[in-house]
Amino acid sequence: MHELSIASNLMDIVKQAVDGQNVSRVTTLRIVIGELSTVVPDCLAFAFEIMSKGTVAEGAHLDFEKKPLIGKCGDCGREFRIQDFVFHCPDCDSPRVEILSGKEFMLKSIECE
Amino acid sequence: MEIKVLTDILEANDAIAEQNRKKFDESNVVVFNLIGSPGAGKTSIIEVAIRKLKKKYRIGVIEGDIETSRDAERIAKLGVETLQINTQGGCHLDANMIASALTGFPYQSLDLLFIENVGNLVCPADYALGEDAKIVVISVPEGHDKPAKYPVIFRNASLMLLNKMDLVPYCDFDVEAMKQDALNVNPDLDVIGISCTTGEGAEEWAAWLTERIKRRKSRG
Repeated sequence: MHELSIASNLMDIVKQAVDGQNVSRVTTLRIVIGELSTVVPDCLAFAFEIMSKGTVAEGAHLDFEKKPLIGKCGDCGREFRIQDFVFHCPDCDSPRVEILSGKEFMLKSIECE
Repeated sequence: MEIKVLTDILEANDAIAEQNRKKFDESNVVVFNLIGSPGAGKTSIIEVAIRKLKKKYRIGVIEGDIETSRDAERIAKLGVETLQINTQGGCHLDANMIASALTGFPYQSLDLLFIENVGNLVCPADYALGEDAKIVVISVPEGHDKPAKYPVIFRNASLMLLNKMDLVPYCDFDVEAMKQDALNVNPDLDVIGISCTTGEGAEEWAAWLTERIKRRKSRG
């Protein structure tokens, strides 16, 4: 259900983006998805396939660019890959960690004809 | 041809959540979004808070469920403003459902509003409703591995209520390991162990809420 409502949001954004652009067919949606997103790419692709039937985006491929969870220590400044969702600096063990990437869930661009 | 979009896919929800937040701020009402599995005890925990605080503060509850108005009927018996939202199969509440609900709900006259989300540890974590904070409710029989398995909600919450503490002697549940896992995901998370049966932790839960209501009043 979750992915179905997201597919509907996605369809709205696509319709708005291609409006007035003389597009006959959308071929690819480039989506950036962070490791911290709860959305399952395969489920979203399936939901979008249903949602886009009969629209300009029917048959479009969803291309997912996955962003790893990267943090920056607020004390020692080290940037590191957050493993197993442990938000502590691996060097100084500080819990003050700012998330640099991994929260994204964005439609970056659309390929169309 | 490539069209650049760069739009957050949940932007539509976030924009409505922001409008809800503005309404709550203008009325000085503190709003909590309670998230937890079905059966974790979200409704019971709200009942505990109402019993402790209803003489001091004006409290309201919006209940989110897939079907039935059973939870709202339970809460209404305690004499507070209550509204039931049925999502008809939907796995989470979204900001638009709250915006619609607010048109017929006297939130302006409240000090404290609880929004009980649909029982689910995954989907509601992604949807802002306009709340001040998310509270994750987890119960002892569910097992201590939940923060490691469902990190997003623990990361996004301000408070973890560990419910059914009276069942610890009967379950294979390591309280300290669970707390440590939750704090690894979110070092700023407050943690309160509670039992709606024995009353353990009820004072602490009421104090946590009181502190936030007072903070809001002094700001407003």
